[in-house]
This record gives sequence, structure tokens and C-alpha cells, in this order.
Amino acid sequence: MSLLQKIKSDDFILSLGYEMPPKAMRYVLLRTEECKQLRDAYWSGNLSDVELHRYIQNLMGKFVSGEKFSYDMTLSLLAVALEPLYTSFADEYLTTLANLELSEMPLSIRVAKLCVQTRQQGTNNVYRKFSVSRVEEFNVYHPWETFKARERAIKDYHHKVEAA
Amino acid sequence: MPKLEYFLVSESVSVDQLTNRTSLFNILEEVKANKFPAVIPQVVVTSAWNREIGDEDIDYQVKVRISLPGEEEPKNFPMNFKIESDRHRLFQGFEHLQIQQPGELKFEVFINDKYTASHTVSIQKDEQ
Repeated sequence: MSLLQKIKSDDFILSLGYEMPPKAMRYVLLRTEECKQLRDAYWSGNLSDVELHRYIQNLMGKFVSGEKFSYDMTLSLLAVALEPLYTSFADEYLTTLANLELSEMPLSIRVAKLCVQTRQQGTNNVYRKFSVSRVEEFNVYHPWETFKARERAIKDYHHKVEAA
Repeated sequence: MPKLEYFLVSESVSVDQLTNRTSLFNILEEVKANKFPAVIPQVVVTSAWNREIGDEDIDYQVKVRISLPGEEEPKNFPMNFKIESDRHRLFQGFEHLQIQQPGELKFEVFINDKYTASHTVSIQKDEQ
């Protein structure tokens, strides 16, 4: 049985026991071997965005209005697995799920909200570039070339100074 | 006010898109040049700030002051930010740093004009 089939199986859902409050459920899901396997598979590229997208679409196809959604736990596990992965797919999945208002999916929506909150508590990055020199004629080198670039920039500069 | 966790000056920096982990490449400690004036093509000043209670929604200014050897007036590079998460990393990239003579190249960081830390790079003449 593949991992994606396993996490939607009755055996897996029953193995997690009774549903707990979302915060406790997130911890329980975080500790499962399946969560680790999902992350590893996604990280290594064995599980693609397209594959996950199709899988979720397939699960949502079984959604019946007014009935508790059978794969609420599966969606919760996916949310927890994708939480530390900063990709556009993970972003879209977590924010879309967290913003839903459906009584049929009480657990996954709340778990996704917690995952979004946890992601926002992570480190933010801000980058700004300044140009120190007024001499604009220098070439801009890429950082991976820095050693050779530094040598070249110094040589170029001296050629220009000597020519002037 | 946010507290400084670390402050370093390197040639380049990379943030892993999947894990948000940072790698700093070639931390600048000493630079050797065989002729002056010399040029450092790229420098990235990285500072990581931890949020404290009450820091939310306040606009902070982090200023990097660069003192170049042989130049009397230091240069100031301010950058404003709001600390929206528990930790905030600021990357301030500088291009074409011209060094006129051997000496000390000093980077200082200030938050809201309060001195916080410094990093000094030794600039030497390469005699070989």
C-alpha cells in the first residue's frame, strides 16, 4: 500500500484513536511515522505538488454536504506534514484550508489554522541592496564567483585608473 | 525593543526555500589586496533580531554604519522594518565597496540610533 493510500485508510485513521482538540491532535500527528515519511517524500521529490494536488482533489470529491468528512484526519496530517515546508504549494494548501468555513471538516481546518500560525512565528527575512560606490562603471559579479570576481574587479579598477 | 541574536558580515548569503535555514558564505575577517584603491564587489551584513513583548506593530530602524579606512566620514545605511514574527533576519547587501588604503573596515549596527554591535575587517596590503 502506498503512503498516500495508507493515510486515507480506515486502519490509519483508527490507529490515531479518538479525535482530540486541534492543538493536541497536531502534536499527535506530528509524532506519527507517516508524517515523517510524507515530509521525507516531499523533500526528496518522490512526492510532487501535482501528485498531492490530484490526491487532495480526489479526497474532496468524496465530500458530502451535511455529513462529517471521512478524510478530515488525512487532510489534518497533510497540513502538519507541510507546515515546515516553505513552498508555494504548501502555502496555498495551508492558507486555503485554514480559511474554509465548513462544519463537515472541524479538525483539519483548525489544525491548518494552527499550522499557519506556527509558520508565521518562524523567522522572517528581509533583504535590501545598497550601492556604496559612486563609480557606476564597475561590472556586477554574481556572489558564487566572488573570489575570481574580486580579483577581476581589482584588476579592472587599476586598468581604469591607469588609463585615466 | 528587538534584541540582537547575531550580526555578521560575509561575502554572500543563502536562505533555503524549503527549510528557511540560512547559510553565510565567506565571513569577512581579513582582506588582502596587492594594490590600492581596492574593491570588494559584494558584502552582505546579516543581523537577526528577536522580538520582545510589546514590539508588535512598531516601526524600527536598523542602521548599518560603514567606516572605511582612510575616510573620515562613516557612511550610514538605514533600513526600516516591523517585527511580525518571533525572529527577523535582515540582510543588507552592499556593492562595490572601495577601499582606499590598508586599515580597519568597520561595520556597526544600530537599532533606533542605539549602538548594538560591530564587526571589523582587517584590510591588508598583500606584499607577495
